[in-house]
Amino acid sequence: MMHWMTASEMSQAYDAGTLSPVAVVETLLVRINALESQYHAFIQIDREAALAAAKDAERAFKAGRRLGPLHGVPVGIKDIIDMAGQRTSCHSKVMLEHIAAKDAPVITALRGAGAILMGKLALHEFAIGGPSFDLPFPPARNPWNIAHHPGGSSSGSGTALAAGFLPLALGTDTGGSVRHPAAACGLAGLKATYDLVSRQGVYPLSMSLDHVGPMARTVQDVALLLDVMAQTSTSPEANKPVSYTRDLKLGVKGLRIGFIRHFHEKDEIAHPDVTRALNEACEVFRTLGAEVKDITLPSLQEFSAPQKIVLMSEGWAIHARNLRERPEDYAEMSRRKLMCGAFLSAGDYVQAMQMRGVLIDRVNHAFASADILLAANSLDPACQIDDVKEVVRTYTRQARVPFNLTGHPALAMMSGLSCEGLPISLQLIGKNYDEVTVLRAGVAFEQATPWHTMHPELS
Amino acid sequence: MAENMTNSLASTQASTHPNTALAGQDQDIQMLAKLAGLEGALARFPEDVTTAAKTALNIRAVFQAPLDNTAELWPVMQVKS
Repeated sequence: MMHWMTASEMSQAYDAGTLSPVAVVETLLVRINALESQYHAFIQIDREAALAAAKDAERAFKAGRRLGPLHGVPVGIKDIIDMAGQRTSCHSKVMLEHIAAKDAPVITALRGAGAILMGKLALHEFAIGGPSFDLPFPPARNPWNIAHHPGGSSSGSGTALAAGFLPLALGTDTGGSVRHPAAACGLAGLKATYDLVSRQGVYPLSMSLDHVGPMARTVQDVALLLDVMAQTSTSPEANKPVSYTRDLKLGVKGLRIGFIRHFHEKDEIAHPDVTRALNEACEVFRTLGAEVKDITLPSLQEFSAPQKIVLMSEGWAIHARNLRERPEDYAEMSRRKLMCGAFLSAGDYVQAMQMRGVLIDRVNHAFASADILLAANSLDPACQIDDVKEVVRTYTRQARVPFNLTGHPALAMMSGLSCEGLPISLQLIGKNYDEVTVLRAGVAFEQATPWHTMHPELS
Repeated sequence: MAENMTNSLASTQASTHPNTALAGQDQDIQMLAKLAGLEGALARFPEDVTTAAKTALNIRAVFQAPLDNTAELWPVMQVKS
């Protein structure tokens, strides 16, 4: 079925002349029209612009011009990223009148690669306040079970991919907001090294923790999208030309994988289905020829506290004026989270940043004996979206935050199904700027397991 | 972006840290809120302000500061050309 095609499959079919980008966009729009009212993935659907771009791509293909693998491939954009002339709502009443003057560099790169921008996707308000029901737009729902939370804050990105509305989407990740919807919706999502992708033109939540990340249904598609997104980096260290798709099939034979077992067996006790899937993943990697051994990092709690202080402090600095002048325009949950920084001191922030340096050193040290790290993602399957107690209980039960604090690349990918039929996910973490190895390991796992081929049944 | 950030901590648990006696003392929280310019929020959403304050204090209570208080921050200062 066309709506489950990956971006890589679309690209190959375009190369072979067996697929029309107009047919792809029309098919996806029909599906979106039929299902969006239940799943709320989008803030805005750009039907006309998407169809026009598809027709442009088709004319280009017929003239023998292909801009690259993303040419003619639909992509959705989290509505916190600027697109010239369009509203960047941040899913908030506060930003309803905000029209972006120009494209964010990551959007410019996508347009340059010929991607078809399908619209703006739902999120948690300002990438922090959700799931909330007191906002101008409803929260996105999980296609695996519409009563469940799709993860967040890039919730619309997760929903759109899992629903077969899009093959690719952009998310952002300050405390796991690419990797959480990837976990809840059974997807692949990457938080790359801190400055590998430009954050310019993306409404900040916490500048030193924010990342823009690619999301897709397969790791290969994540790599395809990263190839374009990484062109935007302004960091000298990140600016070495790298192909993230070239070495994906090299396998993991001889790779040293450090398994951070204590995150989910000691620091927090994961749901048994999560633990089982992680143990099975270890066996998969061993079978593929990798060496897997346990490794110890500081505890989740040691990472979590400084991360929250940094996030609260930077987030307050950004939102202080609006919270003083128009607090009623925020959702309750956002107010409660974003005002926290008003009650921290400059000294708290400085000490958290000092501790951050210590923790970065600890993770870097771990890579002396491992090429990549394997860790849990969410410690529970997605809970019901309107079960406030469960949302509260499960939200911080995760192992994503450490790598926002340290900046290391972290890939989320599906690694199983819970007994209730909800996706389970793992993380692969790499050395700074070594996304190539992380993605290579992800593809090896993907090829050895069936999870990426599974899709929810939508009605 | 910040999906981790403390729905649980946004609940109204009292701080257990000896230096966070402010938690639960609404008058002191009100004073700090006013100093932060949050009079409007305090008037309209007092529970939200109290919750935010207690969340911050709870986080501060569990945070272990680095042993070396002269350590450089990360990210370090960079020359801007």
